[in-house]
Amino acid sequence: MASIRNHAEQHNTAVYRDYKKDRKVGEGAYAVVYLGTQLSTNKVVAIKKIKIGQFKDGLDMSAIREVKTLQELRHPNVIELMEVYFHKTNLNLVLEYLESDLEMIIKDKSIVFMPGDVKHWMLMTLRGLDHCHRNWILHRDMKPNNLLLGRDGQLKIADFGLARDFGDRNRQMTAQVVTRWYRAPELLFGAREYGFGVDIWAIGCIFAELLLRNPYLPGSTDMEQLDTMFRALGTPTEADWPSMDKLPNHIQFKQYPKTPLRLLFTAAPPDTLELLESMLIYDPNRRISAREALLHPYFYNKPRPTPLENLPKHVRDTPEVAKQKRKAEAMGA
Amino acid sequence: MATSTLTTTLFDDDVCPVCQTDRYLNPQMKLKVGPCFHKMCENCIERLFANGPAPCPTCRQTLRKATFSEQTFEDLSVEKEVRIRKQMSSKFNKRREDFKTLKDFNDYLETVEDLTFKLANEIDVETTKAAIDKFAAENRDLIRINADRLLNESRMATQRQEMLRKERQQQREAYQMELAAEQAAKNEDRRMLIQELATSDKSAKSILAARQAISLKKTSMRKTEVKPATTSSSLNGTSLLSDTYWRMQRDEEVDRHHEEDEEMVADSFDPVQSQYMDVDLGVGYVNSVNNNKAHAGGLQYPLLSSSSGIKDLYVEPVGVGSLSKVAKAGGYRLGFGYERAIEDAHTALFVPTLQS
Ligand SMILES: Nc1ncnc2c1ncn2[C@@H]1O[C@H](COP(=O)(O)OP(=O)(O)O)[C@@H](O)[C@H]1O
Ligand SMILES: [Mg+2]
Ligand SMILES: [Zn+2]
Ligand SMILES: [Zn+2]
Repeated sequence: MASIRNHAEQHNTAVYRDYKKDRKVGEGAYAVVYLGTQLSTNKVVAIKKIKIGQFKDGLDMSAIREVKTLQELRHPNVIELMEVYFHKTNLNLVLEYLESDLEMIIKDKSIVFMPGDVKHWMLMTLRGLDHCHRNWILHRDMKPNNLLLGRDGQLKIADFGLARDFGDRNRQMTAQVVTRWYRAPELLFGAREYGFGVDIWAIGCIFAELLLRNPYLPGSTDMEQLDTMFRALGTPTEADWPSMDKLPNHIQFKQYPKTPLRLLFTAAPPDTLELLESMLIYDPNRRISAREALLHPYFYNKPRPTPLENLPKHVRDTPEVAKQKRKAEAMGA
Repeated sequence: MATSTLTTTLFDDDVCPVCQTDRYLNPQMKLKVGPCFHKMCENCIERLFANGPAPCPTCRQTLRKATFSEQTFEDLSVEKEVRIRKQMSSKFNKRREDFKTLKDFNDYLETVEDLTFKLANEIDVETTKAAIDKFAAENRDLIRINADRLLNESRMATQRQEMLRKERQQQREAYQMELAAEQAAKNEDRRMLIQELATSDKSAKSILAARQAISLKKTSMRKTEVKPATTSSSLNGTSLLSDTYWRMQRDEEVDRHHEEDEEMVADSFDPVQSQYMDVDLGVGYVNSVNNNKAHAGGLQYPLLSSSSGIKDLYVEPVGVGSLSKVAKAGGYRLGFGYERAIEDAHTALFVPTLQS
């Protein structure tokens, strides 16, 4: 027993010594992300250092969830977990490094979007998500900022901190998942048992955002979120969504009329709107699945998805400018 | 040797220097140029490089099939320089703003020109190549950033051109409509005038004067009616960027033009590409629910029916039972529990046994 433990510790030390953190690149809810180097190969990596959790055992459930999930999922559109090691009391996840995300691209106004670009991003997102769902993993935090983009144009779903293994009703799930703007109506109504539909709703919002270049349903409180949603898509009726009034936090809302999507998305072709609409169906049981979405005519119809190498890239600062910015930041801090 | 040089120059494009196939005897023959700027016919390329990289029959440089391409310029030396410039510009893509002073920038351009000249004329090839590689290594990040910038800019430029084209077309159409409308109105006026002259008892002069005033007014009205359509797609930066939908339609139109070469892609396109499902799971990543190959193959696991006579030892997974209305409204399906339990049990059959 002792020898196994020793062996594991030695292995951990060896892994830890192989990585160097270069600088901080991002900070999330429970982690700091660094740009790092694998010394043995000189490969650029991202190191996600999980902040010490509130739990007595020192480790947050979400961290464990992320490790377990990523170890199980391997797919070109899911971020690759290369290694895991402990240092002091921190858990470090070594991930492949991706330099930009979909949020940066959406906000970068020097970039024009062609319909084929949107189609390819949607395709990659759905492929990754379909893989998660087929392995009984809900992501639960789909948003442009968690869809990372590699230099080759490949999109990878990242940030599995809120993901969970489900299909097992032993444990109840929490309704406090998914960044508000992308949160499905059943979650806003406090559902504790839900399905793959929560991720699909989020993807629907991302799809709309790609078409609009602006967030589709930006509510600033949960209440306002519902109001924004119902204004845009009409207030659901019992026929639209059976038993919705049984959900814990259901509240009666003003009856907004249903307006066709084409009034807002004026020139989007019918296949685009049809797919979007089927992702934004109130009743989660009727909402399209990732697999069905992939088989939707939208992906077969023209225009074709833009080839990977022609997808627009987020233009980073040149090395000189970046260095100066970091210097200025360090002075300010 | 002397004769062979003579033939290559004399018949340059008509005889394959490798197999001596003659174009007059074989009109289908197509010559291609390798990176060493030696030509040979497609048959020879197929034959020589069928089993991977092989030496060029003329200069012994190692070549691959994919590095051969069709000659764009008749003069091989022009072809060579164009190709070299293209290769150079993919590395030497610095811009004015990447330099402190204009002089630095000019010096850089001169250096690039020097290197290009040396390559094209095969002077100090080794040292020149080393210098280029050194530059590429030192500027790796900047080269990538500028390549990205170029990509985005050329996309933007294509966009602008397309919008300009469309705008001109709209203007042309509007103008033609205006002309046609004017012509129709004139004809109508004439008809009315003739009728009035024929039936009215007013003097011809006063009728003509009244008519003229009306027709002038009409023309100017028509002009303002047509106007808005022609100026709707203004080319200022912001409207260009926010106008995604407009582009969507445009793109469809562009697409229709490329219909033919698109067909091929359409046939081979598969959104649920199995390659994506078939990711090899490394040792230590084997998990019973993750047998992708089984998934990709569409393998399904039917429940044993009681009629098959086998006593089912299946243990009901936790939570599978009655499903409340609340759970249903939330999108939870009763099937989840079953499906998962069955998959868990069966996919494990495909897991390779762990070595102890
Ligand atoms: N693999 C990666 N490569 C590059 N940057 C990353 C990577 N993973 C995360 N980041 C950056 O760090 C930020 C926070 O990471 P994330 O995984 O979303 O953490 P959290 O779960 O705390 O939100 C991201 O928004 C992104 O900018
Ligand atoms: Mg995040
Ligand atoms: Zn030949
Ligand atoms: Zn040669």
